[in-house]
Amino acid sequence: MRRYSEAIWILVGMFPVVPAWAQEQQRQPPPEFRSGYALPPLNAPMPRAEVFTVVDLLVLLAVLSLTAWFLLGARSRAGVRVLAVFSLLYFGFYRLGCVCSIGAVQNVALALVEPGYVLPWSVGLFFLLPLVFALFFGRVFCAAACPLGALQDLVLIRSRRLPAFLEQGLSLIPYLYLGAGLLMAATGTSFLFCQYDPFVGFFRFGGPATVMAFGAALLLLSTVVGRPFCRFLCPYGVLLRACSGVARWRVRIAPSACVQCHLCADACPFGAIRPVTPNADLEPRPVGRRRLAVLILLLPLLVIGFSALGHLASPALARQNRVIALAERVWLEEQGQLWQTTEASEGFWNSGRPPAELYREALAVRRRFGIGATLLGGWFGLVVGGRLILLAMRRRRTEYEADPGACLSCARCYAACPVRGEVSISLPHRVTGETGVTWSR
Amino acid sequence: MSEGKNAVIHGEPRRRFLSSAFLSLSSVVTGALAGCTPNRPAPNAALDTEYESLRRVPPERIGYRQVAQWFLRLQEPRGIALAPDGGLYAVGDRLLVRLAPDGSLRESYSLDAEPTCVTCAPDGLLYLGLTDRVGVYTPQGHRVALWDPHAERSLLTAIAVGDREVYVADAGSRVVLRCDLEGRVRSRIGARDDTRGYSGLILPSPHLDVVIAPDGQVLVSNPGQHRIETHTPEGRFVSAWGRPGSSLDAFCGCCNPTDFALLPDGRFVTCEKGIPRVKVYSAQGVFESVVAPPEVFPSHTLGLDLAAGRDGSISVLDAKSACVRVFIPAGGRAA
Amino acid sequence: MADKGGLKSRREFLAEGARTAGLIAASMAAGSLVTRRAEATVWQIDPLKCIQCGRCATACVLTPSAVKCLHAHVSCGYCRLCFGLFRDQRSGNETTAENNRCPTDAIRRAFVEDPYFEMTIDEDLCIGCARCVKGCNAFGNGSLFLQIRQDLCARCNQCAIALACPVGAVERVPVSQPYRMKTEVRR
Repeated sequence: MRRYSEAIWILVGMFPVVPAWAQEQQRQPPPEFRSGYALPPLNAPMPRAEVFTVVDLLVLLAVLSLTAWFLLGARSRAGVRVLAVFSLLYFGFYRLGCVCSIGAVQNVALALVEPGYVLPWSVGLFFLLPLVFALFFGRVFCAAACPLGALQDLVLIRSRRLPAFLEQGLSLIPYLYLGAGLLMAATGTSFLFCQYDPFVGFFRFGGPATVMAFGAALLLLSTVVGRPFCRFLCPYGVLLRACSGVARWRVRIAPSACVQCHLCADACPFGAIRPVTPNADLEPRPVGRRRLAVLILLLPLLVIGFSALGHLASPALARQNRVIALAERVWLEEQGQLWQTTEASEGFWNSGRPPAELYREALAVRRRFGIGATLLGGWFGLVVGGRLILLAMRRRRTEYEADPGACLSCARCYAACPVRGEVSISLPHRVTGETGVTWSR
Repeated sequence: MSEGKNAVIHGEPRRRFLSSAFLSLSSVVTGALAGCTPNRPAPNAALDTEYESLRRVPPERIGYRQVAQWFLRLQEPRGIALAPDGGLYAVGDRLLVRLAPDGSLRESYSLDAEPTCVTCAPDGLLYLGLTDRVGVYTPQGHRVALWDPHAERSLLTAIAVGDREVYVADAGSRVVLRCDLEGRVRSRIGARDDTRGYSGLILPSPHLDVVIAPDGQVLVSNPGQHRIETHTPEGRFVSAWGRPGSSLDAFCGCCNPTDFALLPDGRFVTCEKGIPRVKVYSAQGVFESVVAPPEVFPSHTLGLDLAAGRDGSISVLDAKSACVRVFIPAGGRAA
Repeated sequence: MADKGGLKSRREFLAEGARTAGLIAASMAAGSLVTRRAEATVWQIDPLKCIQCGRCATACVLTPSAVKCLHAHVSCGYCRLCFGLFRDQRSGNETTAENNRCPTDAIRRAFVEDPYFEMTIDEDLCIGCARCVKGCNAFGNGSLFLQIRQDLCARCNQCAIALACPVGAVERVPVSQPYRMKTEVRR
């Protein structure tokens, strides 16, 4: 039985069984050297000065602004590429992939839940800046500021479109990953996004073998599938997608200029350009309506059902947490159900900390897991149900549209559009109307 | 690509079923992955194997057996001393506690300083090291004298009381002081003496023990030199025995023995840290047998203290377990 | 067409509202971040929790690890037979190289005066395996201890060593106090 009850823990707390042992004791002074020998100083160099954090932030701000300008003003794919290479070198290989907006999501979650952790201002700004830019200019962060995106974009040779069901299914994973990562971060368990970051190992020339292998496979896949990590894994992309949905300036296809040639949709490696819906596929209306009604009724059931599942799974999930795992182990050892100690439990016994204190801490974490896992389950249900409803909704498109959420602002479609007139897209002045794909409202 | 052209969202029902099935599947897989990924690699205990063989002592080398284990109810016991009635005194946690001969807790007196060691004089008075000063107490726990500290960085680790003098081992100052019964310093033992080739007390860690030999000479531990030394009361180095090494007959580590005691017949009981073990040596310093092998003590054991009873029993303070373990010769009768 | 235009402008209006709300929320968050000015954190090992399991050498994303052994000479016993330097000496006091505990020979032993020897760590060679720390803790004063060298550390948001550490000894500390010195030593 790996269960324990609060009541017993409180009882244990009243009668500490194992004596605490203070390890610290008065220090023995060093010998009195007759030879005049002086103690050497301790070599403890300070970390990189904080001023460089400001530099990182300024670089991020500059890259985001320049990307927006390259897309909005200069309409230059080349400029975006240069910036992407720069970000790959600076944030990737020079800063070793850490400080990163994707990871910052977890710091924000931890700071919101854990009163003992205060969000460093630099991390907070790394979290906020790309989102604010997405509100106005779309996902310019993904276009050129994110080293992970840049790496995948640069190795993309020829993109193949995924089957629709695969695309739809895989694009749910970021939502689920975001939920799971937030739970693990908020409970102080681990930062999943950082732990399983597939590409950060390349920047550091080393990492856990499984993660490196995963990264290599993903990079290989990136040569034929456009940015698989960004589209099918990136949890920060979920937030960026939401912000980008209301972006003021973004890729739009001017209906008056569009000749519906489909070249832009072919050029987009990320499937972000939605073509005109063909009439042949449409079902009779009543069938669709009924399905929609059923799915809308199903949504609350899905949310409740998944919440219940999450609640049931919370003890198992909680065991991922070091404090919980240790408390369970110590409890069993204290009860005499286990005779051998692990490194962790031995370390605990040697620390002299009373077990009751550990149990209290573990209970607090588990309470957090109980709430968090229920919410996570509800989130899973909402995401799945919501996606099903979206799939069932019939929207007729009579014009080509660029999906602002899915668009990664790579500027490939500019070059693909044949409606160019005499205006070259590389000229650094604003162009509207002449091309089909434009960056204006 | 024609696949993309005939898109996508408004697929036929079969495809929609496939996609929803895929959704559920992918969510389950993601959840399971998040739940099952092991966070930590398997334990690696390679570093502990080095002393595994030393922790196990062949049974034929063990000449004693444990006959009692008395728990002290102290968080951090620091020293023990035998009482004339066969009971025991222990200090720690700013307390002086008295145990009856059967090990039951009798009295507990609070102290106004952190005690570091305790000794019971032949006349029944208790001499306590209170970190940097000596306190003299009646058996009822009343303080009758308090000696001023003699040095700034004193740490008193042992006291030996004779008929007319008190020897105070000060590990902090690396010296043993011979005091009269009023606490006045008469002579100092353990200073470096190059004329005699004596390099002084080498105490890398705060352990220093002193015992009065039956012939009146003073026995002092010198852990940094891995030996027990004999000095005259005036502070002249006479002789020493002991050698470094991890084998049973030697003193292990960088600085051992940490404590020692004399059995009634003049043999030595020693205890070591690092590889925690208690051993008996002859009066000439020849290894005889093991009292308590390392596996008796919990891992990371710290702070053993010894007391030898008049009946040949050996009491060992196991500070980490906060208990006193009593050993008698293996062939002997339980006390 | 007019209907569609109305739809479009309504959508635009909603988007405008969402943008404004988002911007206000972001500025509030940024404002509170800047006024609180919470310090950045770095990872550091609590030497009193460390059990010298050896994972610091292997779990770090950097090779060699950013964890190095530091030597607090102030609590060193200057032992001739330093058990941070030497392994088990069954037959006595060999102080020869084959008895060295350090796998990379990163500990330098220098004679100070009879009978004291000074140990120094060559940090270019040290891989943070904690073998010497274990020896020094078991037998000596524990003056050797592991720390994350902050000039080497990549400052990962999730320290890989913190995940691998069985006792949770790797913790976030404020960047202005990036080391955890051992002020007290074990008995």
